[in-house]
Amino acid sequence: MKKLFTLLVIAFLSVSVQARDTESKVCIEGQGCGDLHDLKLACTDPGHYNHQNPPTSIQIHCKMFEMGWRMGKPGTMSFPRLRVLTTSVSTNKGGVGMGSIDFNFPTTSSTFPCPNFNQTSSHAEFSFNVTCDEIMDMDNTIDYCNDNMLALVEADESLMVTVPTGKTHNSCGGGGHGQH
Amino acid sequence: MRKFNLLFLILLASTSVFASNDYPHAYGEYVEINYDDKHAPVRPVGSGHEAVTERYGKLIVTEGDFTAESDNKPWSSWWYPRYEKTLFEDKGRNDLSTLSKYDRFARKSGQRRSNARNYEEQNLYTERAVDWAGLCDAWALASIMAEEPVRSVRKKGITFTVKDLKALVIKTYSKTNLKGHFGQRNNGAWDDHYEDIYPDQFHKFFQVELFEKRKPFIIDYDAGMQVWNVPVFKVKTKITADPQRDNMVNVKTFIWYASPFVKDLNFVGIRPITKIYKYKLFGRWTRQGFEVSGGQWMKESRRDHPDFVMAKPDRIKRGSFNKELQADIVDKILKGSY
Repeated sequence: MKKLFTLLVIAFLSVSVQARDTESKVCIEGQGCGDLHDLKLACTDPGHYNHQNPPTSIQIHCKMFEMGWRMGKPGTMSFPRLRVLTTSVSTNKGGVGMGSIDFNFPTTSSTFPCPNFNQTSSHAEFSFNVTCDEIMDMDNTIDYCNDNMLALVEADESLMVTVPTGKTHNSCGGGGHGQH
Repeated sequence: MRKFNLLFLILLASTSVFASNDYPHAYGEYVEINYDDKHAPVRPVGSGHEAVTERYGKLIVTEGDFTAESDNKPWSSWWYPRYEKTLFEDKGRNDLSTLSKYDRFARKSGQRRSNARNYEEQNLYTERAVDWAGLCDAWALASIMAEEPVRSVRKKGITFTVKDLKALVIKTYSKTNLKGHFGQRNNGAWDDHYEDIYPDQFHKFFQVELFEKRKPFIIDYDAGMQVWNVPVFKVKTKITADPQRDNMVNVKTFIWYASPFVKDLNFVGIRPITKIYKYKLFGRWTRQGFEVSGGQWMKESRRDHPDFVMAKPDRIKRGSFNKELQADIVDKILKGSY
């Protein structure tokens, strides 16, 4: 079994608005994945890993996973209305003890739309072929992924595969009768 | 004086070869191609670099974003490097290798002398095989031709897991009668053309195979000497007219392929990976659209582009380099695993 690069570098990038994870790793096809330091050493001193030549077919894998929400089918909320009619009588001759009488009149409810939300998970994984020269210029692979993949995906969501998780948030509950 | 004359003649002959337009890459000399040129690079005549358009017709494109996905999707699997013992190494009496299980099943089915496990170890396994040698070509083909095994099966008292089933079906696609790919394979020879397969040929190929026929196809995504075959099932291409040159359009193409790098050998489904290719197409505008006459890889795609491409065949004769492995016995094992 050939000697493999055994260390795996995983970097996570969290964004506060939506849960988003980005990971990157540097792999040499057929040999496995390792951290950037090991790869730089392999590029400058291949003999250190018992190879005659620096590695070729170096792939940087950039993987992004995102959890988010999308508008679902809206529902409605109904609130009952109550109408009160008050009547009383007064006179300028003598005091007449009259109270007021309230009459309650039921009337139609007020109905309002309320949004519902469906949770989604999206992912994309890109592979970039790089050279030893490019590896030597890198401080970390996350920056490479940000520069090459993140901007693309943010400009074009269709590059990600998005599927519903099945989880929903119903904002129609409480205070009325929610329907959806 | 004679030595001087001889040296002069040699130098004169060498200069005339290097100056020729027929061979842009002469022995011992790298010719820098001007990637800001107004015209597509000259290709050697009769070299087979135009095979796609010769078979499928002219490439005509229009501006816009276009996406296509194949009707059937490939499946991911491990690619079984030749330096690995996974296929034949038994871990214990109750943890047999895939080929040991195959032998047991085959013997119980009447093949008394089935010896696939030993054949693999003695004839096909190589501890010192090159890093990239393995069954990626067989897997890529199997993943677009065969249904994916998704569950374990128990046959004649032997449990075959998804890992076993995938390995067996892949092995039956390792030696086939499949011929013909587009683009000259880079074998590391001095006269190999790194730019091949040219982008206009690649674009016409996926335009026909995926956009028109809705079929997945196979590419070797390594333009160098190594071969890394993967099945492509989705393409998105963005074409824009060049604002400064009316004989050029700029293209950014995204491809999605199934990856052969899965952590769990019992993996079911597809692990999709995306690659980006950037290129120019040269030609002229007509009533039908932009009629392409050539192309040039740009930026990172000058280094990173497909080496060759293969269409999904309508039918194929399966076989294995492991002479002890028979496709009909593998098919019996696979029944019930879909």
